[in-house]
Formats: sequence, structure tokens, C-alpha cells
Amino acid sequence: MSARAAGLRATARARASGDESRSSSALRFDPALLAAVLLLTTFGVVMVYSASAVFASEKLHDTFWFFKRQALGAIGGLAALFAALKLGYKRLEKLATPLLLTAVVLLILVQVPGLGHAAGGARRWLSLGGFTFQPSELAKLAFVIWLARSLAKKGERVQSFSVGLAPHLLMLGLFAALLLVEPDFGTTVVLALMTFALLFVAGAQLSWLFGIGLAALPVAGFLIWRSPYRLQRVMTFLDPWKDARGHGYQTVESLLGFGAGGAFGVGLGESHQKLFFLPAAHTDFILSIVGEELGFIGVATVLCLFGLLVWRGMRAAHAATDAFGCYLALGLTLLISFEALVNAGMALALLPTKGMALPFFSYGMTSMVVTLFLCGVLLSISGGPGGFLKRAEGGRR
Amino acid sequence: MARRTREQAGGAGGGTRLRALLLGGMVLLAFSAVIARAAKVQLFDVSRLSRLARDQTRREIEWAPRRGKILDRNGMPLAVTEDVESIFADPTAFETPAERGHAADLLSKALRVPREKILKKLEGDKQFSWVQRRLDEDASARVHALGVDRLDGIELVREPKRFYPQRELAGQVLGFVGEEAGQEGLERELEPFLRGKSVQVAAVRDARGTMVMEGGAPDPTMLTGATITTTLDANVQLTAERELRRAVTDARAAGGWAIVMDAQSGALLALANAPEFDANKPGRDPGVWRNRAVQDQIEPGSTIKSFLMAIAFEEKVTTSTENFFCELGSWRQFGRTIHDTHPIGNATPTEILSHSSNICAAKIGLRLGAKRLLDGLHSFGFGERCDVGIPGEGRGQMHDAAHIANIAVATTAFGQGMSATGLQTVMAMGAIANGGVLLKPYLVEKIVSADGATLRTGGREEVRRVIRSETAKTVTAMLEEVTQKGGTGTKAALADFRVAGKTGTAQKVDPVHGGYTQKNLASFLGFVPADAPRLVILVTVDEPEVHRMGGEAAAPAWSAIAKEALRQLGVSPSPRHEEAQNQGATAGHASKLAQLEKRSAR
Repeated sequence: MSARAAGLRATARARASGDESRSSSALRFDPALLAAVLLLTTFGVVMVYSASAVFASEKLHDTFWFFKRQALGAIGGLAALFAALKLGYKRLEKLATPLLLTAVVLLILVQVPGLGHAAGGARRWLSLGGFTFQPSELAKLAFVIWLARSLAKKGERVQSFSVGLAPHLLMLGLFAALLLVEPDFGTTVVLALMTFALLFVAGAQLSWLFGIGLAALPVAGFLIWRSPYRLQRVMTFLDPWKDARGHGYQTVESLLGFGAGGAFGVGLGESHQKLFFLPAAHTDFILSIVGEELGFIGVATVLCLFGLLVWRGMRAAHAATDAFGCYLALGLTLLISFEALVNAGMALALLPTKGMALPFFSYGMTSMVVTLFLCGVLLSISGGPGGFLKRAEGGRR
Repeated sequence: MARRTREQAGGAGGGTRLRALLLGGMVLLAFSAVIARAAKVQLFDVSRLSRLARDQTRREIEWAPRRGKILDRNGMPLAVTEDVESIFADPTAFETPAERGHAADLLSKALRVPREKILKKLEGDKQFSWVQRRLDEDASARVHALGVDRLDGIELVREPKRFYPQRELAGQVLGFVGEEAGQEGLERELEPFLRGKSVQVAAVRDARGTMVMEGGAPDPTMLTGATITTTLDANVQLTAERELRRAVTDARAAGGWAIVMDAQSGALLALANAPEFDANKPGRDPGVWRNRAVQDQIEPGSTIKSFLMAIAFEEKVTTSTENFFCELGSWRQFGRTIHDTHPIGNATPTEILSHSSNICAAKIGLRLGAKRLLDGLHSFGFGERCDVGIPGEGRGQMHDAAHIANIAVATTAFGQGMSATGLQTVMAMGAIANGGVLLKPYLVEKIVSADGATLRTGGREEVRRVIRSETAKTVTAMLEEVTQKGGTGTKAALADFRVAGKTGTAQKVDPVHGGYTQKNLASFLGFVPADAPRLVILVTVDEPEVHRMGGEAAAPAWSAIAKEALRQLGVSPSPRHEEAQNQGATAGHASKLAQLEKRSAR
């Protein structure tokens, strides 16, 4: 509380001084945002341990196997976070194009046999030394930086189709194609949603966005129809109980986990669902374990922490002095929150199942490092005195 | 203001801030929707979902009980339980007929069972089918050698199996265990003690079916049945079975039985039946399961004369010096002719016993009269069960004193027209041996539960005093003469011990046509040492063809068993016997001395 108060005071002082260039200013970020990030990270690492311990001791004879890696990811991620905070988001603007190119190259490389590494029917991993790495995580980051920069550069011209809309949609199309080859439908959907949201905020004409949205529906429909497992997932989503032992298994087991937890949960570490009933208990369905062990209170806490992150993320967008910072803050916030929403919606049978990690919670070192790096960038934006949106506001008046 | 927005002056459109706010609001709304959904699932659907979740993880596992052990008096295991392998199949796991056929081939080879029989068990829609339960060691080894256990659809489990490590030793006494419970003998009689308890254990099942027990496996003492320590002495039993088998073979007999009892306590040290029965392979013929020494009711024949004499002396209808005329081997009375195998003229009661005269026994029986004779025999335990604790024990039949014909009184006196079990005659002889008290026989020394609590103990139990000890002494002296020179039972005599006993040769009753057959039962019933009885022993040979008389067929086996049993029990030759061979005059004095010594030794 006192940290937050101090932070607010610091921000206020920074504003009052009116000198955002003064680098010696005590706190150049939003402490509430950092608190939300740290709480989510800690909570997430603990839950990975709880959800994976039995599986890890059975499969790998080391109860802490996943925990140790996730903790290492968190430490690396925090280093990335503070590095991003120290360096400031503005340096990223220059890196936008190289990052984008790197991401595209890596997404292609992942398809090269021998380099790409497949698991669970998807080619999503690159092996580098002993480490495996998910290029799609980098792709999200590169894409959002590029999009923010591009939107910032285009300014008012975003309203035009050829300059404002077409290039972004084409780039989205390229990324979507590369991601769908893996296949990584979830990341594709999140990127698309984020792109549309940013185009919307940046001032793209609503009629165009609606039109493209409508046009995209048959494409998505076709993609679902063509892939038997996606179709199956949609059918299952409509009635998971119909085939509770078959295709509805994950969804039903996930719901059973939530149900078993009730209001207050069965206690941390006491989950029965993780005894191999719930596949991917420590990855995609970790929220179900939270629900079982810590109950509705636990789930609501997780979602509220994400809500806090969204609020403070939006506030960071507000604090941005420039359009790039504003769009970047929005994009990063939306990226994390869409992932969380899709994951939670899937675990609670609001959405069809798809491979989608819950940021901060699902096991995965790449995801952890990248997520925390994104948060570092967001934090570096949050320390600004504001300007871009205020200017917009002022212009309106 | 202008300074701050130097980069994007005029960049943001008028609606940008509003649109950003709108977007933020929508995202937060979406999170609220997810929270609402979580609330519905976790707070409102909770009872249904949590029940379903519990159902799929909670199981009660029933742990099978473990049968208790049966030991001999020295702790040697007679019946134990060990885990062996059973094979079952999941017929639905075979994907092709060829796969099924291959499994059947291997199983047939490993189990040495025809292929068609195996194949039948591997077919069908059910997911579980026993192929063979409780394999023996060799079959188990072949199964592993052929890799049958690695086939899809074939599984092995360990199940407890009853073993009888001494093989056929005391087979009929122990009985055997069927699928569910003990079927014969002690296994059946003591089922409630032996069975043990099954225990329900709460367990959590993971999705692979692996059970994780919350409280760990149950304590074995909760599952295990009680340990039964019998009164049997494995060594004496072994000797009894060996000698009985030899006697049966030598006489080309159909079978036989032998009983060795502690004369002072009523504990049964051996209970042997021939042919033997190996409870490891019970088979399907109830005839071989039969404990004939306890279950068969047969005419006891001449051995009954010992008790006749005891009753006559107890009732004082005769004295040891009285002379009876034994009609030189043939006496017509009540329209029937009674024969003696060894014809004699005048005889004292001692001579009547040692020559086993039916005619004079009939005369004494008639002198006693129906009531005193039958009451006396009843008193000796005839016509009532001994309750030794073996299922199906025979009771024996006797005439009713009120409705008995005179001829029946005469024949009962030498053991015809009544029936008794071998055990009954042993107990009656025990009464003479121990000074006049009928004891209750027992087979169970103690029953101790798995947690160490003693549930039951066996010991000397008196039924009633039958005769005065003086009478017992008199009859003992007479019975000793049977094994002396000129008696019918000389082959039962031992070099180092005095033997008291009586031969018996009973014609077998024709169960179909009535009357008597040419087949007979040859037996010897007696105790040793006669001056300080330790053992009462009965040997009966059923339907001997070579040596038809009790003194021929049964007495040699009797003495062999007695000799070995005394050695096993560490009974040293009585000093009185050695002295008696040197100087017969001081016999009475020495006998008292021996008894005194014995008492002080206790």
C-alpha cells in the first residue's frame, strides 16, 4: 500500500515537475502495475508446482522438475522486465523492423525438419542448444511492436483503406498463415483480435472493420470445417457432456475440477483432478487446478489480478507521451488479456478448447520470459506523464 | 502542451481516447463475464460437479483376507498361504483372430491345457475372463519363459493360495480349501478362525486406474486369520502314516487308519488314514477326503471285550480267578452258533481276553444283562460323539436296552451288532489306561489371532469317571497278557515297554444284503507303557487279504508306531519293565515306585 502511495506520489511529482526528460526522477513506472505483475508471477509459479508435482514425480522422478524450470523462467523474465524498464520502450521503435524479420524467419525455420520440434501434433518449438523455444511467442511481441509503430507513423491516414488498413491486414495475414501452418490457431486468433482492436482505437473506420470482420467469419469457418480436430472441438464445446469420456473429456474434467473446488477450494496441493484426470493440468488447464484447490476465491483472485493488469495497462496507454507508446501499451495489454480471456473461457467451457496458455500461470519458459518482458515494456510506458491521449482529448475540446 | 506532443502533433483523432476507454471497458467486461461463469460453475453447479468428481476418484478397495496357518504341536507348518500367479484375459483386447490364436498357442504350451479350451476363454465380448487361477510354480515359470505375460490382453495377478508343505501328511485331518472356504477337516471346522477379515480401504484413483491409498495398505494383522496350533506331532503322524501304509500294503488291504492319543490328556498326536490324501491336489473324489478314523462307523469287534471285562469287574459279576467254559470253539445259543477263532475249554477272564473268546465274552455279557452292558458301554462313550472338532464325526449305533434280543446282548459283548468310530474305541481304551476317566479328545492346542491374542486353548477335559481305578488296573494287567506269549497280540509287544492292548477282527456287515461278508477289519487297540500309560494307539486295517487277523495285520504296525512315537516323545523304558524281566517278584513294588517317580518328574 505504501509502495503504491509512494508511486502515486512519485508520478504526481513527475507530472507536477512537468519535466519528463529528467531521468533522475525517483520512480518512472506504475508500482500498482508492477505489483499486479509480481503477484501474478508468484501465484503462477506456485500453481505450476502444485499442478505438476505428481505428474513430474511419476514421469521424471523429480517432483520439482517443472517448478524449477518455471522459477528459472520467472527469474529470467524478471531480468528481462527490469532490462526493458531500464532501456525504455522507445528503443524498441528502432528494433521494430529487424524484430519482425527475425520473427518471420524463425516462424519459417520452425517448419524445417531437424530444427523444428513437434509435440502434440504441432510444430511450435525450435531447439537451440539444450533449450526449446517457441517462435510464436517472439512473433506476438514483434508483431505488436511493429503494429504500434506503423499505426503511430500513419497517424490520421489510418482512416484510409490502402494506407491505414491494407498493410496491417496483409502483415496479419502473413503471420496468420505462418502460425496456422504450425498449427497455432489460438495465437492467430489473439493476434487478429489485437490487430482489430488497435485499428479500432487508432481510428480505422468502423464500417471497414465490420466488413472485414464479416468477411473473416467464413474464412474462420472454413478453417474450422477443414480441420477435423477443430470441428470436433467446436462440437464438443456445444455439448461437452455428450461425449464426456471422449472428445469432451478435457472440458468435462476441467469443469469437474472447478466444481470440486466450490467456493473455497479443497486446499492448495489437494487437487484430485491433477492425478492424471485432467490432461495438461500444469499448462493449458492450470486454471481448473486453481479452481479446484483454491475455489472460486482463487479463480476470482486470478481474474481480478488480470483485471488490475488491464486497468493499469490502459492507464499506461494514457501515460504514454507518444502515439507509439500508447498503441504499444494498448497492444501489449490486449495481448495478455486476450490470452487470459481465451484460456479462462476455454477452461470454463465458455469457448471451444484450443491450445492457449494462461500468461504467468501455464508452464512454459519462453512464454514466461516473453510475458515478463512485455510487462517490462508496459511498465516503462507507465511512468510517462501522459500526453498523446490527453492531446487527443484536448483536441476534441 | 505543445512540447510534450512534439512527435505526434495532431496525430490522434478525436475519438481515440473514447475508443481506448471503450476497448478497456469491453475487456474488463469480458473478465467480469468469466468471473460470473466461474461463480456459476463453482457456487451454483457445485453440488452436481463435485459429486461427479468425487465419484470418479474415490473408490473403496477391498483387501482380500489372508488365511491363517495350521501348525503341528512343535510349530511345523501343515497348512500355509502363499501368493501365486493367476492368469486372466481381456478378450476384447485381441485385434485379430491371429493375435488371439497366437495367445492361445502360447498359453496352451505354458499351461499344458488343450488349445481349444484356452481359445474358448479368450473369445467373447466381456473384458474379463479367468484363464487359469493359482498356477503352480512350474506353470508360472513356463508362462514367464514363453513371454505370455507380455502379450496384449493377457494379465497376471497374484492371488493367495493354500499350500500344504508336508504334502499328504495329515491330509484328511486338515481337509482343504475350495474357492470360497474350507471344504473338509480342520479347514472347514475352523473356517471362522482361519478365514481372516477382508478390509475396506478408502482410496483415490487417478485417471490411469492406479489406486493411491490414503491411509496406506491395511495392517496385515487386520487381514490375517488366526494361527491354529494342532496337537498333531508331525513326526508321530509321519510314522503312523508310514507304518499304516506298510501294513495296508503287506496285507493287500483296501485301506486303514491309525490314531495316536496322549493317554493322560486326550490330545491326538496322530490321526492317519490310508490311502493318503494330498490336500494340494484335492481332486473330486470325496472318498479320499474322508477321515475314516473319525467318520466311519464300523463294528468294533473283539476290541470291545476289553470294555466288557471292565464293566463286568466294575459291576462285580465276575472275579479274575473265575473259570468260564468256552465251549471248545462253538456254542449254539438263541438259534445261532457263536464261534471262536482260537477254540479253548476253561478260561479265566485274562485267558478269555488273550485268546479273544467270543463264546465266553457272550456268557459274561449275558450275565451282565442288557441294561448293565449297554449302560456300561454308553458310559465308555459309545453311542455319543466325541466332538473332537472334525466335521462329519460318526456317532456309532447301539441297541436300545429296552428292546434288545438276547442274541444281540450276546453279540454286543464281543463287538457285533453295534457300531463305533475308531476314535470312540481309542477314547474308551484311554479310560482304562488313565485309571478310569473318559476324556474328551482334542486336536487344537491353541488358536492365536494375528495380533497375538489367544482365542482358544485345548487341554485335558474329563467327560466322566467310567470305572474305578482298581478296575482299570485289573483290566490293564489282563490286557498286558494279550501281548504276552500265547496271546493274540504278541506282535504288538515292544522290547523295552510293557504293552496292554486287544486285537480285533471284525467281519464287515454287508450294507446291501444284511448279514456279514467275507471281508473284515483287522485292528489292534492298546496303550503303552502299560505301567505308566503315555499313549493310546489304534491301528485298523480295512479288508486285509493276506493277514486277516488283527494280531497279524495290525499289531506289527502298532508296535512300530508305538516304538517311534515313544522315542519321539522321549519316553525312556520304565525301570520296572527291565526289573520285571529279571525278577518278576518285586513287580508290584516297582510299579508304585515308577508312578512316584513319574509324579515327582511332573
